[in-house]
Amino acid sequence: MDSVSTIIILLYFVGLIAIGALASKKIKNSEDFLVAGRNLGFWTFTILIVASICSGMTILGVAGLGYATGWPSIWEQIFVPLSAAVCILFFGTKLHAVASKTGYVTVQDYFAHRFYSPRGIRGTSAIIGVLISIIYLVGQYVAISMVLSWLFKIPYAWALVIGAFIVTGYTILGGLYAIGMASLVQGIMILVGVLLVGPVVIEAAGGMTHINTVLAGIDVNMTHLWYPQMHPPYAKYAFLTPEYLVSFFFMLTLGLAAAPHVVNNVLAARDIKYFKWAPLAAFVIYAVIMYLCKITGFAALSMVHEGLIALPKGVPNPSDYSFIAASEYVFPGFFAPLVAIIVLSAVMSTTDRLMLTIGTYVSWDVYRQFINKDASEKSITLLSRAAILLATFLTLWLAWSNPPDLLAWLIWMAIGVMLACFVTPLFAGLYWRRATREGALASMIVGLVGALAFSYYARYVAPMPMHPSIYGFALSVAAMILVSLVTEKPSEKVLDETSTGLYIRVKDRKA
Amino acid sequence: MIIGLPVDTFIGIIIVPVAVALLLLLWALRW
Repeated sequence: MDSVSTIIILLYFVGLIAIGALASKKIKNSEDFLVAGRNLGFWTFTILIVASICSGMTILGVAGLGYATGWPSIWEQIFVPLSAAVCILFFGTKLHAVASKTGYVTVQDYFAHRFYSPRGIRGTSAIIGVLISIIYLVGQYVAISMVLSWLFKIPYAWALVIGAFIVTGYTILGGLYAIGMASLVQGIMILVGVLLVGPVVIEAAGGMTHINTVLAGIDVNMTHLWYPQMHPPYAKYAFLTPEYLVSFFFMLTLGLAAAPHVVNNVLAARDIKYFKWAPLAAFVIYAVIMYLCKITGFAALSMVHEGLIALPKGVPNPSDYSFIAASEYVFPGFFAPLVAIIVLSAVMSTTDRLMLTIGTYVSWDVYRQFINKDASEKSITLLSRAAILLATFLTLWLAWSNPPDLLAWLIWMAIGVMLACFVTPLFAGLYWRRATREGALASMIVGLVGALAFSYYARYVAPMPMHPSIYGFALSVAAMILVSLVTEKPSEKVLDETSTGLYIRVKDRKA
Repeated sequence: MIIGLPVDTFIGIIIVPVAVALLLLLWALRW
């Protein structure tokens, strides 16, 4: 680690804090802090959605999964970018149109209105949202410290605290304004970074044909689109069977689209017209980033196989270091700041949004609704900032005190809970006029219990042929339909106010 | 084999993202 690298990284950090300071001048009220005054432009909005989903796992984990399993994992590069498009198109178009009349600040405001339940559904949804955001946040901090401590040879704990200080700093300063502006910078850094690293790594590994030949030599199924259907799989890495890939689609495409730190962003766009091109723009940008990351993982496998590079030993997840090790090989010397900025951009752009989600849910959905109904604008913004700070300390403690393999399981479970709890109420609420308050509440609770129970079973009792979250999701759909049909139909007034029905664009409705 | 991949794998990794992008393009053009 030399002084030039240190200066580059420090400049990047100073830039982020400067963005926070700049954005803080725009914060006049709690709506500015929580939803950027509903004033984000097209590219800031589109990149914000991509950057919120694009986490440390996207860069390191995607290359790591490619390293472990080969081409059958390429479906992840379709499912995850598609989640950005699904969020904008199927959830965003209608939520934004309705919110422009009603002034929703969080998705809980929508649930409370559509399911005529000012407290029950709001409280349930907000508490589940805060809990899974904290778990997800722990995973981000692990990725931050993994990168910083390995690159700069500093102790893990220092790396954790430095990363947390920067990202908490600009988030508390500028709220969603700062996050939006930072995401634009971070998104460009990620895109330029992988466009630079990806092709050079592929070239260094001997080109695509050579990489694929090496993969086929390790296991011929590594060059197919899935592993043969069997349960249990013939090897630990051969779990991506057609059946498992189906559950992968539901979890990634629908689960991430409905994630609290993703779906709330649709309220911050300035203009409904953005929802025309944003799905395509988000998908293409994200797919390019992810394809390059994944192929970098294949290249790393080929390079390790031929002795060009070695992954670190004595760490619990060596394959997650494949992106770092491969870029170190092709860019020795100045690689450290380059890789650090790519990965830190990805991690921080998700971390900041998760923290603001926690702050928003605590202040807007819990404090203002349950504790102090007459809370002032100032006190809501202040409490959001305090909750963000508290979440940082809690997360650091969790990241510090838990073994990594438990954390990895918890994070996958958190995505599973997003699928099982939020997808059904959102789809049914927006598109099905018969969906009732009782159905939504039953769907959320049954989904939560189901996802937790099946995740526990799959880890501690016996492995399952599909990702356990899909069984929780199936139960949540069943609960929504059955309970809705036996409870009283919602009032026409509420359904019309929330534009409920089987159409996406609000102007399409036949009044 | 194309670039070291079986033909159906190669077609799959190209055609699936292109098909998804075309569907999203259709959404934009129908707006």
